[in-house]
Order: sequence, then C-alpha cells, then structure tokens
Amino acid sequence: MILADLAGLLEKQFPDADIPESFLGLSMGSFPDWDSLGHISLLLSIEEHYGIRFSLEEMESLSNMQNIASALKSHGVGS
Amino acid sequence: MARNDQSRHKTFSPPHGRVRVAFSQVITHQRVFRPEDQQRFMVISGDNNPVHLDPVRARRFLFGKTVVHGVHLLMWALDSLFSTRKDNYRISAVRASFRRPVFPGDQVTIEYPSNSEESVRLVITSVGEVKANVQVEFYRMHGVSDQTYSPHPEAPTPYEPRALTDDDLPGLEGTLALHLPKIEYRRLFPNLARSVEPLQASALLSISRLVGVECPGLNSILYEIDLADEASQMRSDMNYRVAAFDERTQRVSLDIVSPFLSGSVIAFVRPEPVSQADCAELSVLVEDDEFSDQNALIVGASRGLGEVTAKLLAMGGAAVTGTFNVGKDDADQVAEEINSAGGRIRFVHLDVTQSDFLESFANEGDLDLTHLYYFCSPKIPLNQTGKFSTETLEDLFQFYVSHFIELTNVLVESRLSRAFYPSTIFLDETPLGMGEYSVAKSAGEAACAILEKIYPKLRIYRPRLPPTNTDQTASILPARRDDPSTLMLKHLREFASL
Repeated sequence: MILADLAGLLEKQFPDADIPESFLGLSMGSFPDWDSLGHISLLLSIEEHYGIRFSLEEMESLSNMQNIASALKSHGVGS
Repeated sequence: MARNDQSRHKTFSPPHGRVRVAFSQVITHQRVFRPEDQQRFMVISGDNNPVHLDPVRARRFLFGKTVVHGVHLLMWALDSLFSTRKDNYRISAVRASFRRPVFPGDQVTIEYPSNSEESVRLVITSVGEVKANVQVEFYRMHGVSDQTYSPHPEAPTPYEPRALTDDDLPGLEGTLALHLPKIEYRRLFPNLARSVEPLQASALLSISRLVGVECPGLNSILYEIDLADEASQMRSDMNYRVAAFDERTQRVSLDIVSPFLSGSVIAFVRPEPVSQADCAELSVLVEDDEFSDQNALIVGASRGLGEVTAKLLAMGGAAVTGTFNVGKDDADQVAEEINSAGGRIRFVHLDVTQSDFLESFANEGDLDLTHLYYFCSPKIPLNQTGKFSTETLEDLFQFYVSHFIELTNVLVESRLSRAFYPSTIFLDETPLGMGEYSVAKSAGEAACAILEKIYPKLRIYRPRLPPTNTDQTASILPARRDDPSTLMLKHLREFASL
C-alpha cells in the first residue's frame, strides 16, 4: 500500500517522468526534473499525504525512495 | 531568434463557443537573453530583484551570477508559440516549473515534445539541461475582448524588494495592481500583445513582481506556476496569500487570484550570502605574531575562504595584500574590519582572466611577497546533465591551473617561497556533478608538483579541503559543513610550518 502511494506521489510531483515499476532504487537526480527543489516538494507532499513531519536531519538523509520508504515505517506508516 | 518549421493540427470546438487549438511538436525557437533584455523585462514587470540585474550583488546569491527572470522565459516561450497566430486567444491553463537557472548569454532553446489534442508542452533547454517545463492550453476567442477592466497602462513603479523573514511569511496576504505598459510590452512580446488577453499577460508579469519584489521578495527563487482561467474576480489587480510556508525548507506556497488566471505559485527563500567570522572572534584563536614573518598575497580575499584567511593571517601579524575582482564593496568592508582590529591589509584589483592582469598587478608596486594564497575561483558549477563538459573544464582550467602558474612564475622572481593551493576532497570522492571541477583541481595539483621541481626553493601546500560554509556551498536545505575558520587555521598552521 505504501509503495502504491509513493508511486502515485512520485508521478504527481514529476508528471513528465517515466516512473518504473520498481522505483525504490530511484533517487534525487534519477531524472532531470528530480532536482533539489523538486525533491523538497516531493518530501513535503509525502508528509502531507501521511500526516507526518520529518525532522531536518531526516530530510538530509532521505535522498532516495528506499530511505523514504524506511522512514515512513519508522513513523508508523503502514503498521 | 531562429524558427525552424511550424505547423498546426486540427481544431475543434469546446463548450462556451471557444475554439481549442492544438499545436504540433515541430516548432523550435532559440535565443540568447542579454542584460538589456533583463532591463526591459524589469520595466514592464516591475521585478527589479538584483538577482536579475546586479552582477556584483548576484555573485553572492545562490546561483553566483545574474539569472533570467523565470516569467520572462515563460512569456518568451508563449510569444514564440503565437508567432504565426492572428486571432485572439485566452489561456485556459498554464503550468510552468523552473528547474535550473538560465544565465544571460546562454543560448536557450524551446522544444516541443509530443502534445495531445488539448494542450501544448514546451521544454526550455540550454547547454544540454532542461531549464523549464511548460504546459499550456488555449482557447481561441470569437471577436475582440470586451472586458470592462483592463490593466493599468503605465509601468509599475519600482520599489526595493522586500526581505521577508520566517516570521513575516505565514499567512501573509496582499494585493498587487495589474500593469501592462503597451509600447514596452509590444516591443518585448509582439505576438502575445497581438493575440492574448491583456489581463492574463499582466497577471503573468505581476507574478514575477510578486515573487521577486513583494513575497518572498529579495531572497526568492520562483519554482512553479500553476494557473487556470477562473473568472473569479473582475478587477485590475491580483490578490495573493501565503497558503503554506515550511520553515525547514523555506518553501512558500502562494494562492493567487486575478482576472482570468488564478491558482498557485511555489517559491523558495534562498539563503542569505554567508557571513564569515569577524576579527574579534578570530583574534582569540591566533597568537599575535604567529604569522608575522609572512608578506602574504591572497588572491580572492574579499569573501569566503580567502576572507577568513586574510583575517587569520592579519590577526596573526602578517602583512597582507588581498585582491578582489568585482566585489570592491566586500573588499572595502574586510579591509576596514581588519585594519580597525589592528591588522595590516590592503586590497588591489586583480582580474586573472584579463591577459594583461600581471602587468596591471605589477603596477601596484613592488609587493616583495613571501607567501601566495590562491583562492581565485568562479562560481563552481554543478553539472546535472550527466555528460562531461569540456567547455566547463576549459574555463575552470584557466582559473585553477593556467592563471595560478602565470602568477607563480612572476612572483618567484622576487621573494616568493611558499604557496597555498586549495585542492578539493572531491578528488577522493569524485561526485558525478563535480567532474569538471575535480579534473581541473587534479591538474592544479599536478601543476603544483611541476612548479616545485622547476623552482626548488618553492614549496606548495595543497590540502584537499572539504566543502565549508561559504557562498560557494550555499543550498536551500541546510547541510552540515565544516567551519571555515577552524579548518583554515589548522591548515594555515601546517602551511606555516613547512
């Protein structure tokens, strides 16, 4: 469920990108639109969607989808 | 502007008697934005943010030099799209995201990837990078616009961009008058002026003024515009409201309401130029005379690591000559601070890119220098194209290798016996986007080794420094970086012990 949500949020933030089915290997810079400012917008949209808030220190480490998925679990999402 | 081929696909009639027009993908436009273009856009938009107009101030902002207004790019793209249209149009929706800055002098291209029947997608690129994505829809209007309201015909009165803080932004709201000075507008965007509803054009111009001058103002970066034709108010002004502000990331989401274009604008507040520690803080770290045997030349001493080095050396008793290129005001401030604190520094102008720079430098008199510190650097580019740029490498090579060698060759003729060449930790880490920088610094290290063999009395200290907190490394998301003062003092002491 989390993966489906994340895929949708990725597609919404980067509508021009081709998001592969196995997207957990993607990270900031994987496609041109995914720059630092786009990344911030993605993280904020994830926060809004799940009603959570990452710390600034967490944000610095959340540069790829695998880390983001792990961070969501640590925030109790999907449990 | 060059245009290659252009064609139009079929049209059909949507509801409300308007004709939706689809454009094909085979149009390409190119141009270069010049500083005078920036000035003209400033006049009609009122966006006088120095990041677009003032090269000296802009060099200390996030991008290191002046950048083209994002809305200027957008309106040029729309103007190009309408270059063969003769009817009146209304924009039904426009979404633009500004990915990377465009600099005056860059060749910019509009490309038209695949489009559906209902919308046109434009991609603005330059030097192999996507700079902006635009999605736009139009309706062809029958007859002439009969709007009761129209934009103010005079140019907006410029005022100093506001520098809003974290406390100012949440919930901030206000109103901007819509302006459209016709003569200047027609000159800059003749096709838009002929074809598109004036209130919509003035709304786009006002968004540039809103973000660049009003909110967030001085320290803004325009990131995204998402507007639709919603006739929610029939007035000659635009209302805005900060719908969300995230203090961690400095992201500002603005709700916009104006005649025929309403929606949202995303901007970021960019970091302020980095201030280095002052002489009072640094003087307690050094002994009064620990650098007193040095008659030092610091190339690039008006800010960043060069500024920190100048202060530490001067507080440690060295006689310092600093150089600046364009930042005379910054240099004057550093000199005033050091000399008031009991140190000794004077600044001279030096532009290493000028072929006669050594001659002009020599005219400053016999400097009798013993130590050279070489912090001369352009804004270090982050290459996100995924390709190695030999052009960028050649530019950096001039700064980090050629001019360093030329300067050293001259100074060793007098008393120079020590040189400090700041290399980079990126030679160990080789991050992809810093390839050209890493290669140029690698060549600089090799040059240091060769120079030591040519001049046996010369020792060149070349530490591989990590990123520190300077204008060069400023970023939207705060990152942990070494403190320049602590780092430089450690290396200055190692260098002094050679």
